[in-house]
Amino acid sequence: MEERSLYNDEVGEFSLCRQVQEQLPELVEGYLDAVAAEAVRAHVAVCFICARELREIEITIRVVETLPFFETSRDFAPSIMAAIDVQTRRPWYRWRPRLRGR
Amino acid sequence: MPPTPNSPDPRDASLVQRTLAGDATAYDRLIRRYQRQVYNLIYRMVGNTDDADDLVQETFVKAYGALRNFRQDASFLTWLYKIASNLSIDLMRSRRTRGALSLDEEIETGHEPADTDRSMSPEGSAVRGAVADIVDEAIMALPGKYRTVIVMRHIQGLSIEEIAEALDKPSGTIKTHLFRARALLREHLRPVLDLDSDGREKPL
Repeated sequence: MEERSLYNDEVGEFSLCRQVQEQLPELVEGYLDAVAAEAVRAHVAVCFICARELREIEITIRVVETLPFFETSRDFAPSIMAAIDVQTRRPWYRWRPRLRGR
Repeated sequence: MPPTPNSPDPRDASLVQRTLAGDATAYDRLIRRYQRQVYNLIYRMVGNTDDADDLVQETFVKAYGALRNFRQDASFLTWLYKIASNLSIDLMRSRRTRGALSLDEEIETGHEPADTDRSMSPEGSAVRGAVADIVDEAIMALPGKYRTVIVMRHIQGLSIEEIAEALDKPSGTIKTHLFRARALLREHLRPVLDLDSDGREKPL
C-alpha cells in the first residue's frame, strides 16, 4: 500500500481508505497475514476515518459475542430416542417384500 | 462464548461407530453433549422456543437417519449445525407459504417474528440487560442469510471455513455475508453504541 495512491481522482474518494476498510474485518478476524496486518494497522494509526471504522467493527462484534447463551432446561434426549425408536421399527407391510424375496 | 468443539473429536467418532453398531446409549450421549449448542443456534435463527424445540428434535432424528453419511474425519457438531441450519432455513421459507411473511421479507430483508417468545426464554428480558435485548432484536431483524452467518460466527464461534462447510457455500461468500451482516448490525446498533465523533465509545 503506497501513500501516493491516497486519493483517487477518478472515483473522487480516498482509495487507500477504501482498501484498508475492506481489510478491516479480516484484520479483526485474524485472517490477514503479518505484513498486511501491519500495513493496515499503520494506516489506522494515522487515519481518523479508518480508526473509527475499526472501532465500530470491534464494538459490534464484542456486543454480539457477549450475548448470553440461550439455555433450555429441557433434556431432548428421551423424546428424540423415543422418536428414533418408533421410526426404526419396521412396519409389518415393509416385511412382506423381504419375505417374498427369500 | 459457548464451547466451540469444532474440530473433529475422536470421542464423537467412537460414539458414532457405537451408534451404528446398534448401541442406543451412544447416540443418547451425543444428544446430551450437543443439544445446548444446537438449541442455541436454532433459537437464534428462528426466534421462538416452540419452533426451536421442534427443530432440535428434528435435527437429531434426521442426523440419526443419515449417520452413515457422516465423515469420521469431520466435526460432528459442524455436521449437526449443517442439518440444523438447513431445517431452520426451511422453516423460514415455510412461513412464507403459510402467508405469514413473504420470502423476501423473511429470508432477504429480515423481520421481527410475530411469535417471538422472549418471556419464555430462560433468561427472560427482566434479567437481561437492555443492550442485550437491543442486540437480540438487531440480529433478528437481519435477513435470514446474514442472521445465520452472524450467529454461527460470533455466537456459536465457528470459523469461516466451518460455516462454509455447514452452509455448502464458498468461504468468500461467507465473508461477504459476514461483512454485510456486520454493516447492517452497526447501522441498527449505532444509536446504542453511540460512538463519539472521534471514534471513542460513549458510556452506555
